[in-house]
Amino acid sequence: MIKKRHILLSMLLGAMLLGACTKNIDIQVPKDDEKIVVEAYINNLYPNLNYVLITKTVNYFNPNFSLIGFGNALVIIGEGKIVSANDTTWTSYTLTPNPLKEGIYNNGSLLGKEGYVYKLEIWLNDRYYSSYTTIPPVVPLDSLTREIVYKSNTPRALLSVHFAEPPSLGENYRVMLRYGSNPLFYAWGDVADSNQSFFNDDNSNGVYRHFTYLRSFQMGDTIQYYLATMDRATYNFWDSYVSARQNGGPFATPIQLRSNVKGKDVIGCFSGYALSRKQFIFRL
Amino acid sequence: MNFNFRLLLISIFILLSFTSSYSQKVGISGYVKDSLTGETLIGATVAIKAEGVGTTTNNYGFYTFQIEKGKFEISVSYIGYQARKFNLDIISNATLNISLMPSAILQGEVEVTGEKQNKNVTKNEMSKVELSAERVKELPALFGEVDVLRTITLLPGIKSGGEGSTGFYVRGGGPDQNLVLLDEAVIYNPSHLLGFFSVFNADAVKNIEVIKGGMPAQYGSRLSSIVNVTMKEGNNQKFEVDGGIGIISSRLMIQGPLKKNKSSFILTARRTYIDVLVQPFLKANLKGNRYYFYDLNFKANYILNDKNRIFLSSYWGDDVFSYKSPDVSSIKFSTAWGNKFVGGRWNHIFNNKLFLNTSVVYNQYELTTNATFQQARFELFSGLHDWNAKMDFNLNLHPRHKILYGGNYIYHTFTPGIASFKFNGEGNSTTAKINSQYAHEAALYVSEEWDVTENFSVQGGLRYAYFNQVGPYKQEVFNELGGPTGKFITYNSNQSIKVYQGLEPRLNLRLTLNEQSSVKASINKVDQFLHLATTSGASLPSDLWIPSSRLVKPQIAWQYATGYFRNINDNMFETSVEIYYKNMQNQIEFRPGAQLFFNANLENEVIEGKGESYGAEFFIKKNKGKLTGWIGYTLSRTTRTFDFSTGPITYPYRYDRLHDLSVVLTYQISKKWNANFVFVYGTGNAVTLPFSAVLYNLGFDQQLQPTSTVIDNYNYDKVNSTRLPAYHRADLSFNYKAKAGKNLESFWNFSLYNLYNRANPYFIYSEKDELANKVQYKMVYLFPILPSVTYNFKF
Repeated sequence: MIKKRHILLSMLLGAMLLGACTKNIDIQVPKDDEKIVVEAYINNLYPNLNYVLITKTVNYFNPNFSLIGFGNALVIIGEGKIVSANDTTWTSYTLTPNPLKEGIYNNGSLLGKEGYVYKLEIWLNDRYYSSYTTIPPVVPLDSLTREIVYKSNTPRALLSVHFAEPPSLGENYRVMLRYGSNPLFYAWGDVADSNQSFFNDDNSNGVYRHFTYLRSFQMGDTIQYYLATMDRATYNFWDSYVSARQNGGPFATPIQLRSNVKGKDVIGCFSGYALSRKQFIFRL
Repeated sequence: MNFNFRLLLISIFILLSFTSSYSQKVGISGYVKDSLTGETLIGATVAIKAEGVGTTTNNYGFYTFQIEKGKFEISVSYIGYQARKFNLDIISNATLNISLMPSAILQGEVEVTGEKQNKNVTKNEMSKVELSAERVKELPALFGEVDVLRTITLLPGIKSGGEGSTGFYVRGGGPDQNLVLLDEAVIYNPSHLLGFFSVFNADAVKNIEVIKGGMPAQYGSRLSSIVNVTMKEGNNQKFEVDGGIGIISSRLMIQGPLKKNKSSFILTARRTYIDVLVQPFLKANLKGNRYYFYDLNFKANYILNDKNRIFLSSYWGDDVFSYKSPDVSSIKFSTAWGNKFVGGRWNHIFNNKLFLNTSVVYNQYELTTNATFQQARFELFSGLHDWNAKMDFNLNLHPRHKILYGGNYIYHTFTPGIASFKFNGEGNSTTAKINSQYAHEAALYVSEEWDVTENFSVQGGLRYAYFNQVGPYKQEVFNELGGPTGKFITYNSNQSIKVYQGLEPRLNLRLTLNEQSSVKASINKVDQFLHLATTSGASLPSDLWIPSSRLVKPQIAWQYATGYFRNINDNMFETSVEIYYKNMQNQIEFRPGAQLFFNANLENEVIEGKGESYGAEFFIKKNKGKLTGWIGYTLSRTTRTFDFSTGPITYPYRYDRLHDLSVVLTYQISKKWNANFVFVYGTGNAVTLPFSAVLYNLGFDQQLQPTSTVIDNYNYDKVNSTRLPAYHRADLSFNYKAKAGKNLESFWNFSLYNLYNRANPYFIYSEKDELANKVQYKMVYLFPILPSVTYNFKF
């Protein structure tokens, strides 16, 4: 949260004071080798949101950013129960291609469990890719509150979220929400709208946390609010993802996605989420 | 280590012991001053031509040299002043304070007189340039704002950061490798408004010295350059008010004697008012924004007696940005950042051979942020504070020997970040803190300038640099993924954490070929213990300085340079060619995408690598006639070698510019008018662009179309492999000296920035063009042709 504020400030300053102009330029960049992209999730609440999507990078100048999925992979997720430091018992789940879209694999009986470790294995065109993730303990949401503000004499509501950050060190969080009249689309891309954010307890462990969303909501909106805890490797990937997504302007720097998937020429993350959820309806 | 230190002390002792062997000489010493204001003049030449001896005034306007008894003609000269000559019968040690009369260029003098003949050929140093603030003021300026740092980028070997930027890069060095000093105080962030303007108010500036190579032993701690800005001391003859009214800011300067001929002061102030001017034109949703910056400079001095003089100088400047929501009054945000320093200085003359300057300076750079969002309150602070003490001795033993020795000590306090958060209804605020770090930095140096023969001179020196990170410090231990382990390494107050030290040899050689030409060479090594945590090309207020530590090694550079200097046509033209090679070790980059601000694990984000720069600098300067000015051209290459986890790769540095050209011309049209022209050309900056894209965080709508986010995918095998378009621009200005009233002098500066409306890249971005069915790169450029006018007055 803190780190982006100064960059945004800087951009705001620049935009306020300087009337910048824009023109098209042609830039030649070398072609890059294609890489496999793995997007995989395991969570403890929604079996239909546990899936693996296998695609590939697209040419930067490709006029059509269409999704190119691989439907010919063998995908297995192993669920590991940690018995002791040196002993983990594994249960394997084979994921099958989902007819919804080529490249998606899932298994309806796979639901994540708190404290378990998960291993993703992919065999694709003689290549092997693997990744581990964990589902840490769920951190429950305490409450959601609202405050009324008036914009052009119309009442709007600001949402505040409250929860107790546990005393143990090393929690990493992602918050997401769904609101308004959006129908339930498939997959996390819909759940995580622009209000998603990532943070951890590195600098403020064990304190009661409050978040107030910068955007306001309409009266009558229903909010589904999710708090996900995740392991550090998953957090690192999403932290780099947010940085890359917000990267732009005069202060932009190259961002490298911090993948937790191993293998040759692969990008991606196997994300284990321990979810807690609350619903809130804004009323006057 | 102990051996090195002992060696240094022995060397100093041996050098000091030479004093007695030259006791048959007599010493001449004194200050060279401006006859109208009493300001001391830095770098003025005092010479006895018949004897082939001479010297220049030091940074405090003081000179001293030794000579046999006898009758001599002493000549004294300084650029912009009428030269003077004296016939003296020197029979014993003598103090000779000399006043020079300004030649007042703006009053219509056609020739710039007073520069010592062939000074650039005969002086020992190379890769060193001096500029006067008066010269800087005449050049075209962006928005009419005269800028010292932007002007020095017109010199060969010094590259501008880009459009509108005061950032500069010297001989392939990084932005943190320039030591910027204002009256001996380190200015850690020398820019306002994200780098568009520098903190130096030209009204307060007397002299600018830029050293880009052949670094003398009294300087160190930065690999690439020293920019030494000296503030005026104040007119000790009469009260004077100067000012300027520009389109975005105004300036006012008051100076005068506290006690005539004994003491003077100067106070200057500058503030931008663009926030006030644009308010009526802002859209309703932007009306809550305010931004301004200001500078205050103060300096006073007192001549206690012939041998003692004391100074007090101070700078206070801030950028202030605030936002207040036009809709919800409880949403507010403000942030301020700036440099401040206060310093005391004592100049003491022991005798005609020995001069001492002692300085004590406290300086700081701080950033504070306050935000209120409904019930939530947030505060943030980060800063860097220094206590700095230094002593510099000038010892003149013999006409052919000048010795400088001294030392300095700095106590650094780094406060990377303290954040506090409070939610209404809760008692105490929650505080998060990145633990502060502390360090001692010290140096001892000795340097001798020895004219071995009339044609050959050696300036040799040795600097011992020492750095010690000390406690109290509670260092958090992180795992390989960057997660906290809950473990800490605790250091008690003043407990040594890590010591770095190094011996830095400095050597300048000059061989005079004839009166008009010489060949020079230099070798120097510099250690740098502080590093700037930045990944951006721009200057951000949140950029942090971090110390060398257990995990971060000091940067080290060796630089080798040689040059040929030749003056033509009775000093009308000065020309030079310098060739340099610089090798830089322990260079620092940060992991791509690393969080630099408020990160307790910042040291583990550091990647160490090396750098290399080499090039040739060509310079021609015309000193006389109606047309004066210079042309500088640099042909160079700069690379960095780092391992971004795929193995070491060597790539062009961001500011690697094969070609860099500057043309600066002044034409004296009449007594009242002069015209100034600037042209710059530079190869485009090297940038890293994505070669492919990742579609991620996917969802699907009811038509099963992906609602993905497109993330740029960078390939770190090909860092900085793309070039932005070349940068070039021409500026023009006219200065008009208006008819002076009884007590009023004034001149107007009319500037045209970017004369032919060139669109130079500020940054580029890509955009998906649905209609053209392609991805299009777009270039943002800031300044089209920009006229400005500034009115300057003095009474």
